[in-house]
Amino acid sequence: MPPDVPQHGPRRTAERSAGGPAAVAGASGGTSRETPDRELLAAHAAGDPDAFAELVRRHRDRLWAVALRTLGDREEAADALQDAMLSAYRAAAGFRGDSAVTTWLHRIVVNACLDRMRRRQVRATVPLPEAGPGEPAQPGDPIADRDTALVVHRALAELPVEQRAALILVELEGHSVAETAVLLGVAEGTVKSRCARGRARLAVLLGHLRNPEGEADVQPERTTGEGAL
Amino acid sequence: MTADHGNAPDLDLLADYAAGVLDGTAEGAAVAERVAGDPAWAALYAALVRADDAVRADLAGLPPEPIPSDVAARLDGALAAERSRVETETLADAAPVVPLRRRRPGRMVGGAVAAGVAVLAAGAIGLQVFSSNQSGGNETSAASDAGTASRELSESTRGVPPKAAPGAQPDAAAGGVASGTDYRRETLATQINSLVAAKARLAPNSADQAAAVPPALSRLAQPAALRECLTALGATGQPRTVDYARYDGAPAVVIVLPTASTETVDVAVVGPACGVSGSDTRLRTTLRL
Repeated sequence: MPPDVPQHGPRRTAERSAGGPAAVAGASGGTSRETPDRELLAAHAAGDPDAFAELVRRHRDRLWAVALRTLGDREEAADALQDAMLSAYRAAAGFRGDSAVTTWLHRIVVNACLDRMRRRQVRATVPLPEAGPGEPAQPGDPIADRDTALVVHRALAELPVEQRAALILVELEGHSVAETAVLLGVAEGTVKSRCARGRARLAVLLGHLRNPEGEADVQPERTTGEGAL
Repeated sequence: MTADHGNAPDLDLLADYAAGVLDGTAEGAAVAERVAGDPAWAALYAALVRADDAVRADLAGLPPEPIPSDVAARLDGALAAERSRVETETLADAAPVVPLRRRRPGRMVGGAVAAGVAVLAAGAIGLQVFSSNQSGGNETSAASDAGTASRELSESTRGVPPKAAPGAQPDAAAGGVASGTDYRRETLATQINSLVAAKARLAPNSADQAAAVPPALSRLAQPAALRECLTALGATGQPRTVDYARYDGAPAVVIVLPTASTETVDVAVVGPACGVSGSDTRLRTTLRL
């Protein structure tokens, strides 16, 4: 018998790009050579000192993107992500497996972000070093892709936080409406409404929507409330 | 809700309507009526549907946001600090439980040897195999180091009800033993290999050494409690071996479970609360035999 043997098989860290829905494919660690997320979490709960760090490394890009886009502030996002991952570290033994590990991690991150937003009652905005403060995009302006991203980020930051969180999870992170409902702890209809109303507000902010007849005020209300339902 | 053609179109309502959120509701029917009968509502609805595609395209065009290296490093550092804190607390909690001298290897209780317990040369671990139809400890035969260790163990865990230790009835069907081993993470592979090999060479019902079970683990020496523990661990099969021993100096049950491969075993090291409050797992790992 060998005196010492490896205690775990090889684990392949799956670094993925963040942001696009395409990044979601296989997010639960589905390749044949990769230890599944659920096993990593169980190993952590059982005392494996390296398992949780690997789980975080595997998903941190996407979790970071959610935190940054939800909070709109780099330092706030870094604090929220750290708080969330420490919470997950301590709560891993209580993970019941009702949802995917990635959904569980996202839920903790989103809750940490929403708690920060509500606690501080700050509407943070993404820094726009090359854009004038508070100037909405003019419809029809030729805008370079880089600037388009800045404008879209700024418009996102203008949304009520509940709409923003739903839009980020569904439109940017590629979660299904059902997953997002679980993640946010609301009904699926609420997620659909938040996304629809959020996109409608973005349409105005980004200059895609003007009242063609000039008869109606289509400016979205500046509320922090949520959609219907 | 009835349509009021005098009202300006409501963007939120139209957004909900366009997304199907209002399908089958009275409010949805009212919006449909307005869209059909009011040019302003109809125009805004049509514009919203067109604009929605552009918004989705804008969102889809956002570049990835990989975590910056400094944020990643900070996160790694925070998790490492948390890990160190937990390990330190665990050791601090465990230390007062069993201030027991490390047992010298390869020495056995005289009575136990006479009763047929094998002395392991290769693994250098003394094993005592429990019998389900024998009860009562043999503490009076403790003339050797092993017996001394058992006595010290009992003395070190005063406060545990006295009846707990000698009354323990380890689950012989699960191959319960009390090796006296203090398992350590860094030597676990060697220790488990020795344990499994020794168990295979031992005849069943060879001796009753229930008293060697650390009192803190006596509950888990009961078959029903052990089954609850195994359930908490998610173990489905019969354990190959169960050792009522110590881990990092603290009383712990080492449970060796079979895997789909005959070349590996699933090892769970659990504390006294296994099956009561979760699995009380101290370590869970797969080892190659």
